[in-house]
Amino acid sequence: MIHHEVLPNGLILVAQVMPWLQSAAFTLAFPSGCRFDPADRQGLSNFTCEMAFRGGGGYSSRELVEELEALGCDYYSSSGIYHSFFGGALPAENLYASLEMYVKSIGHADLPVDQLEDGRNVCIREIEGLDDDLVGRTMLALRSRYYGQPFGRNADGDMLGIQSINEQDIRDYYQNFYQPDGMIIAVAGQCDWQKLKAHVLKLTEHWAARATPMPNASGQQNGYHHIDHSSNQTHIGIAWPAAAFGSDEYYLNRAAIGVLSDGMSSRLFSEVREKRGLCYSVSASCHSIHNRGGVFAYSGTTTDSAQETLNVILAEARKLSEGIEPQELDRLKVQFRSNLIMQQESCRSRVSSLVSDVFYLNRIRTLDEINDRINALTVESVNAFLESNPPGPFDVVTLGEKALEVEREISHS
Amino acid sequence: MKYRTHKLENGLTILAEVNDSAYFAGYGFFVRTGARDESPEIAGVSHFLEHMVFKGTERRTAEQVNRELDDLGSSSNARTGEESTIYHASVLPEFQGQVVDLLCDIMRPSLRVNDFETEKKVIIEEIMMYQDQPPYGGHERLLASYFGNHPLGQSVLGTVDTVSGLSASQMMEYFHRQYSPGNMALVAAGNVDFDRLVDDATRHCGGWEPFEVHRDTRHADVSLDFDSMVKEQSAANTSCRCHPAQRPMTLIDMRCGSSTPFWAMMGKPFVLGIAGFGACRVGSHRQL
Repeated sequence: MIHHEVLPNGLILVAQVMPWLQSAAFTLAFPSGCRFDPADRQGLSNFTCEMAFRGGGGYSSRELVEELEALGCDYYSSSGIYHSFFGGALPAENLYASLEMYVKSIGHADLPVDQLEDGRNVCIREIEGLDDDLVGRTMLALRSRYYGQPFGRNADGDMLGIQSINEQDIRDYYQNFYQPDGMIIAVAGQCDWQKLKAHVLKLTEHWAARATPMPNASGQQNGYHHIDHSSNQTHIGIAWPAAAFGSDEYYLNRAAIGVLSDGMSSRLFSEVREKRGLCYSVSASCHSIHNRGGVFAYSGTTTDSAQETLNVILAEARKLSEGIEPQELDRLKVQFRSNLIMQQESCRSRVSSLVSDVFYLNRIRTLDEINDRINALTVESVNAFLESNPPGPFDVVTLGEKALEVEREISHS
Repeated sequence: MKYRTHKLENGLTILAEVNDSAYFAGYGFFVRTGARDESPEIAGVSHFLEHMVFKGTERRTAEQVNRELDDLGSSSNARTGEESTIYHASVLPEFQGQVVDLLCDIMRPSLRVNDFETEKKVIIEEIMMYQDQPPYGGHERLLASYFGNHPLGQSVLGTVDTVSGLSASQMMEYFHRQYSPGNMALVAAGNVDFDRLVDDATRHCGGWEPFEVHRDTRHADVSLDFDSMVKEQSAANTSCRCHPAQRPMTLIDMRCGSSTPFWAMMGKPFVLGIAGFGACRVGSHRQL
């Protein structure tokens, strides 16, 4: 049973009651994220998220963590493009106590100044860690070019930004964006909706709302970009336009990309890895921001194999416009169905879907609705979509010892 | 939940945690073999074999294996460690018969030479990939430093040199030395029809010839020295420490969180210092 209600202060409470589980998961998604980071303070959202989980509402940083662990809560916090997330998964009987602790401590965060430098160090380590994450660097560069500012940003920010942020920046950001209007509290697992609603209403009734308008996006950078780096492998990222999540054509495109990349019999896995042995990792997936979608493909391969890998991926992507086969769609439908049912055994997975549905669609898709959309897919409808929306134009980013040759239409786009 | 177990005459253990209300069921073969069972000249063969298991049998080509796993809507994978190699697939309960047939079949792979040479390239790509990704190298270095010459200190992936030098016949010899039914278990969890599982396993695996498997279980003289590994391209530092009284993995896992005992033991600044998670320095330390 799925519940969805907007509370008087604008807070959106959603829940999926899963009585067959003994656990529950929850998330508090504050409408913030790196989209609101000032250009010279990139990382402010992430830094504030780090500081907001360091005690408040009568709990010290240490007490908060110790009590959550005593409740068996597997907790996390993170900052993304649109939200700062604070959540956890735990035995269902401890759900309400944990929620209360989260709302009290994060909703009334101390932002302790004596821990400011500790918090800054965590953020700096995260940014430094990216230097060692060549896949992450490649795909972030691609996303940054494809989506532009601020939606293609690295949510961790940059070193200059983090080093420039002071205590007042964090207090101002917290004041502006840690508020209930547009905030999502999502719960999935064994819980009682009426009890949950009453609990959250009571905990948040004094929170004052403040509107957070969506910032404008800058333009994108197309074409080919190479990042010189001395590494064993060349990392290849490729992006092309796709139907955004929530659009009428989303499932048609998702099916096409499923044929390209879902499973061990997918075209990319078969052609790039199984037949040619060019790489260990190759994949393509659909991604969306609030008003645009894209397909992002990745492979990492040794320098000598990189050119062939890029060429094969591009050829397979283009070949999609020639259509898919009935067996490919049948296979995909079974996989989609399996994944859907598997989600019903994971409250964490459901919480993530609830937040995503509410944010992008302003409603929750039921299992039946998704099933119907999948069953309605036909080879004819997918192929008609692909014929009128052939993959491309392509944006390419590579990271490695040597730039690759790209076709004129990519390098000059 | 009910726990059921059965042993075939050839020694294959069948074990299940049966939960009739589950939506799904997972099935897997657990083989008691891994990097510790390799001699230095075939370092990496356990992991390479794990890949080759998906490359076809007498009844199926590699393409058919991949396609069937997808046809069943399975979530499947395999992994190799120092002590075990595991193959698993989760499916809707209606596909139990088919997935068990498939898993049993691939436990007797053909190991065709053409597939072997193509997959060797994939393995080398995997090794190169991990070499670019600290702290993965750090974990193996830590085990090597801690266990010294003991087999538990051997690399799971092997090196580009050892994998390049492997032949299909060496792998076949290793397979026939380690994949005895008595050294394996077929394990299931979730919405499992256990009686049918036993029937199917008897039909598919009952003919596997048993043989004795030897494992070197001598005591490890662990090293408590400090060791460091520097990668000039690496930005962040990570320390990993081994406690002589515990398995190293315990502490390596703990560094990722901020659990209370770890805080109490290490103090917060250290937790913050390693939370960045990118390694270039690894060592064991006496003070813990």
